[in-house]
Amino acid sequence: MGSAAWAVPVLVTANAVPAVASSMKTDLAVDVVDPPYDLDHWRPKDEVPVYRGPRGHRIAARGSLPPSIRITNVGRLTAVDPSGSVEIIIRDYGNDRASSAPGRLKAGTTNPSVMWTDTTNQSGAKYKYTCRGELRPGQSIDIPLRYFVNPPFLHAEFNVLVAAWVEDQQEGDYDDNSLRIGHVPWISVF
Amino acid sequence: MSFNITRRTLLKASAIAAAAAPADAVSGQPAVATGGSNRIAIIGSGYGGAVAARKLAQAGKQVDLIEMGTDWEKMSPIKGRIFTTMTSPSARSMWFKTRTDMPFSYLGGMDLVNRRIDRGAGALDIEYFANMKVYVGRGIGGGSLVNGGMAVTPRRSFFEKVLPQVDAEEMYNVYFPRANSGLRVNDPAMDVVMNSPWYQFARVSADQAKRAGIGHVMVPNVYDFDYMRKEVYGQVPRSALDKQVIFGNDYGKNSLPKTILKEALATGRVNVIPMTEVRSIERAPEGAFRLQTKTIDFNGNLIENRTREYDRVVLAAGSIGTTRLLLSAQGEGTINGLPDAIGRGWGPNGNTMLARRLRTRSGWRQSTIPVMGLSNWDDSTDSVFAEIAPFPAGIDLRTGVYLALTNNPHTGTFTWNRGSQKMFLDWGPSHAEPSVRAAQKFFDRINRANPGTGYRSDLFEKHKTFSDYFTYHPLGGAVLGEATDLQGEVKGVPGLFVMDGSLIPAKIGVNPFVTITALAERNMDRLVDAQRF
Repeated sequence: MGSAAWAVPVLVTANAVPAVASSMKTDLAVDVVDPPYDLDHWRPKDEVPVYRGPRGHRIAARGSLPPSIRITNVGRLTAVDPSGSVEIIIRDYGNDRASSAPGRLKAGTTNPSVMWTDTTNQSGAKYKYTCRGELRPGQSIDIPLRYFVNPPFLHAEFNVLVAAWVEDQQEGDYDDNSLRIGHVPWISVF
Repeated sequence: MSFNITRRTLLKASAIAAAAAPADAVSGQPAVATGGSNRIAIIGSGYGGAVAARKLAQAGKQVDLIEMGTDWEKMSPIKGRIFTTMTSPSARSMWFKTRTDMPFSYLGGMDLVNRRIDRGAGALDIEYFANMKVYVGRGIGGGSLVNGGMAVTPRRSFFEKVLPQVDAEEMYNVYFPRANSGLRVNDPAMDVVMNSPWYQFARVSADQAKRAGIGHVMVPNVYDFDYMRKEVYGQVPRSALDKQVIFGNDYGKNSLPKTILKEALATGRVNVIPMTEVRSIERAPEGAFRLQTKTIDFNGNLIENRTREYDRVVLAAGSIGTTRLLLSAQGEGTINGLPDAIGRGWGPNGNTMLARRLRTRSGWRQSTIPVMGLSNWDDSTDSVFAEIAPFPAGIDLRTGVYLALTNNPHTGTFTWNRGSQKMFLDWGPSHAEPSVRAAQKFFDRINRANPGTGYRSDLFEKHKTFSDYFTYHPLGGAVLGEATDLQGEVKGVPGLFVMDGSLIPAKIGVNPFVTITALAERNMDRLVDAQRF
């Protein structure tokens, strides 16, 4: 139960600031977009695909999962190559236990301008991302998430925590981190 | 991210002073301490007291904040926790009780819910009257320590009916937003509500209400829902997800010591005096107020009896505590000129609680922080706003629990009995009847739309289906504009102020603490501007 698990990952990224405004700081916000819900029947809306394999087109399951991550420049300086990290952890729904396969649900992105690096370890699926280019004040960039599992994979109903961080120079503000919980009814791929 | 729990580091001179009290005081003999000119006392550290302390301190005033309960921020953790869970109560759970007394008395008609505990200055107290039990918080932070954190701004139309003497435009443009911001009110996390097992109970109830054509309301809360997301994942110590609520909450909930009181204490001008009950108030001939106080330790041992003298006194001891101090002063003749309106206009905010058999799983895991309500509120006497409440028993009882808030037209009156030195309340089942009737009409409709569901009558005292004998939301007793002027200064007694739920007559249609906070913000602005301190 260490809070260290939730420390902001150290990133070495080029989050450049124009020299003319060296006294100002970049200020970015990250939002993990809400999973879809079925408010007519008060249940998760299982419509976001989980693919079989990183590049395959066969769908292994569908879940109520955050479809994307959005980075927004909420400051007054243009941010160059904004970057951050993402972590995805699964947890058993039925018995309130950590999954025996916490990092087996993985993700990539379909946004070609985002450099996405897998840094997964035993505690969960982890990634670093860099959005290449400039993000002007008020602009946003979406990082669509493409979930997948590598077969063989068998798992009963589980929750999915998607946590995202963005790096900026405005340290400690509340919007540098965002979390959402998703849901997958079950997956069975061989 | 850092999840270290911030503990106050301010030195509280009062606690040290209490520990080093003179011998005559320790022996129980009254001693006189003179506060000097411009000394201000605030009695009670709940929502109104916290706002008053912050406002006065930020205006440069030195204040004594007197609280009869524990300073929980200074308590040592036991097994990592300050507060207890509902299923493992201790002396820290209830105020000098030998047994817990929770809203649900029975399970399956059997006495399985309440537990024996040691006596101590616990967080939850009950004020008992002939036909009414009033749940109140004890400790620095008052009711904010023990409530579910449901932070609801009332419908403006109803607010205008209940408090027509207050400028609603100003309240809704200035003071409600300020209160919500100061209390760190935020919207529930829909992903947790919809996708986690911890809110299955709420989803089932909302779905069944929808079948009856009754809509849901997502209810804002002071709980940090990012913290709750991490609780779901076991990444941080659990509180809402580990049966902490009515006996206090260690993590996640932004109760007053983490918000408004923290800001007040940061000024360095608020002297907190915990474990000190104000027994009576007397107005001295020269105009100062003399408070007879009794300080105890956690086990109830007397530390000192003392007389404290102040020029200004803010009563923020809650509807019951404040009304009792005023009525006793009136009844015993220690303050002349108190208005006849003291003790009137009391009500339980139309509270009535009930439980339904859902005939479907409600989940064995239940977050203690409610996030949803059902509502048909149209300001009529049939109006119901029903919180969907958890029943964190640790097993799946297939039960839905609701706290219905209703628009009950009745009010109660407190009176002081000199012989017994006690305050009496004339509230009885006939007063509560409109609340029960409205709730039954509302939930009959839901039961009819969901065949096989029905009420449970095996949880409350006397096998009642609808509780009519307890409240979490005491309001009134010193109503704004009647017992006080329009800023909360007691009529006929300059320098004595009321700043809590006593000001609101009987009901407000939602959980009242946001309204109490906003009203205190408004009143304190006016009083400070008018240089009443």
